[in-house]
Amino acid sequence: MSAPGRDTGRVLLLAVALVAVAALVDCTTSDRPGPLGDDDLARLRAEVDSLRERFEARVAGDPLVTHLSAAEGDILVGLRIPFVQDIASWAARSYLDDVELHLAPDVTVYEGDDVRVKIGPISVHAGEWRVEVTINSVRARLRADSIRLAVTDTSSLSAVVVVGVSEATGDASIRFTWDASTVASIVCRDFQVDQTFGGVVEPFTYRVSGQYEFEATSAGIRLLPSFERPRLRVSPIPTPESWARARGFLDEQNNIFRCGLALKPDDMVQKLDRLLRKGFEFQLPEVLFQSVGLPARIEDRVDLGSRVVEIRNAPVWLRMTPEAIWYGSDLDVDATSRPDRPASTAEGSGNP
Amino acid sequence: MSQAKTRFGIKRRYIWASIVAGIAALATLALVVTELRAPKRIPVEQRILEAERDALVGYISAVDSAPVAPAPRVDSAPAVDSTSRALDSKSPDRAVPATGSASTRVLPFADILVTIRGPIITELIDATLPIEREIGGRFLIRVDSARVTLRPGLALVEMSGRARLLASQDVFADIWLMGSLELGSALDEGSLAADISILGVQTRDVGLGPLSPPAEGLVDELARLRLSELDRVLGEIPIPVRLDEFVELPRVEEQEVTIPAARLAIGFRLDAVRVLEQGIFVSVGIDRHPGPGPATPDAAAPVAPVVKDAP
Repeated sequence: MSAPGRDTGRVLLLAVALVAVAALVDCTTSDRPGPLGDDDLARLRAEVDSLRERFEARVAGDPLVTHLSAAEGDILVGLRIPFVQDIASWAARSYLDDVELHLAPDVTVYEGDDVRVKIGPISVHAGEWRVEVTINSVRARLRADSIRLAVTDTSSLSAVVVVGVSEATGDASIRFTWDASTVASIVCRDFQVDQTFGGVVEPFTYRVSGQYEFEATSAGIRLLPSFERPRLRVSPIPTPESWARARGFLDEQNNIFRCGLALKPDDMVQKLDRLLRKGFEFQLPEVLFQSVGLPARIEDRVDLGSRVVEIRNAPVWLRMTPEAIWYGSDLDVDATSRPDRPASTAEGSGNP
Repeated sequence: MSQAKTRFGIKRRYIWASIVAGIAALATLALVVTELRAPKRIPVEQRILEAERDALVGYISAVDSAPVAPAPRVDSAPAVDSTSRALDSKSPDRAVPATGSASTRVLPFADILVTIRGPIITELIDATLPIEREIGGRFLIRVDSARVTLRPGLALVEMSGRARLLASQDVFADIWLMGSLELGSALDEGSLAADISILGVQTRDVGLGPLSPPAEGLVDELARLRLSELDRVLGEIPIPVRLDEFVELPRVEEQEVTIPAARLAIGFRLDAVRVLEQGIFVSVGIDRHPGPGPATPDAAAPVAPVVKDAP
């Protein structure tokens, strides 16, 4: 044997020897689990029985298990009240906080009276005046100062939202009407004057109360707002310019031919002021109270890899406890989608 | 031809031959020992018992190590009395109102608790059957029927079907597979899904008749198959519960008011899974990530002094 050939042979032999020794070491030291003997298996059965008994004792002490055992439905979903509260609160805030309203309430208030003037010892009916104020538009910014939700019964959450109205401005029109009596009309004429004015609305805060009721549908649970839309009262305050204009036009009427003897501008300004302070009522738009779905639902189809299966679900159980809202649904897996022949899939393919 | 000798006068070739023979003997011994010590297929019953034991030990230790919670009122009577109780969403322990007696809490309940009854899982699996799948490049396994049985700690799936050799499809054996339904790692984009971990495979009762020699070969090969190779025989079983990762409010555009659409992003994490006879219970926790849109929830904000009530 040549020297290089001998060396190669030795190296090969050495490698084989190392592998053999490694295999021997491995097989003598490894401790793989294997099948238990009859006695050990019996001990394992007894151990599992004992553990099961201990666990069942704990299960019996958990009222949640008892509650859910009695509940109807193939699939039940429970959502903790604070989680639901957060969503309801967020939804309310989304629609009531930092929202600009452009209301066109078109409400009118008016005041009027008969005017009598004394001519010597005689009191003469001079006519009838009337002042009407119509709010044409109000722009206001809503602000949800706080939202409080609480469990009050088994089917709804009560809600109290403190809503602030700020930065409110409006446009109104004023109509002065003088209807002179027959006698007075000999001297002075009827007139009607229309003026528009701008005003601001003092910031105010309201407590809006209502509740969120729950509705179980095949698409899950929805929170349905049920709020008594409050009638908000606004008292517009004319801007100084608007006051000046109103005063100016009353002064214009204060002449003999317009029965200035009967209509005193100062009195009329006071009456207008009183009328405006009495204020107007308008309702928050209904659109501000919207329903919202909770983010847990039963799907109406599942992709089983080899095919998509339709699922019909029928809500059968809806309950609220102080801990959670519970929703149970019976499912009907569409049997018609079951294949006649086996769906064949290669290894590693099929369902994701 | 001259023979090289050592200084002791022994021919080198004899020495080498002895070394080779020794190594061969060593290797043979290793193979024999390895074969003798090779793990035998663990009986299905043992695997089931071990799986149950491991789960129950975990469940019990989780219950026993948890602080004792006040017993929640879960009866069907009105939940709270007329003096309504405001719930504080920022409460760290999500405490429930106490009714006086303490109770164990077997079911973890983070923010969402999904309960899935056993029969509906059987129905879902049934809808996929029969199904065939190539396994290990050698077998074609067909599952014809399946049944899910829930017991504490284990959702047992019994499947029956037929195994064929891919190379010779007229050779087959009826088989019976036992598996454990696992939901442990599945919460993908708000969807729940289950996998089946195979605990054992057996050829059906040989009362069907004597097996042909090729079929015996198939049975032997099945016996040597690693069980994990069969885990995907049914594939993933989706559970038809969807946890939406967004809550959305539509845009409002009316004459009186315009409000942009809002979206609340919610992250879900699997908290715990418990298997009881009554169902599989999946506790899911949430992480709030308010998305674009109006402000974050503020359920616990104190109510400001009220100026006046709406008329």
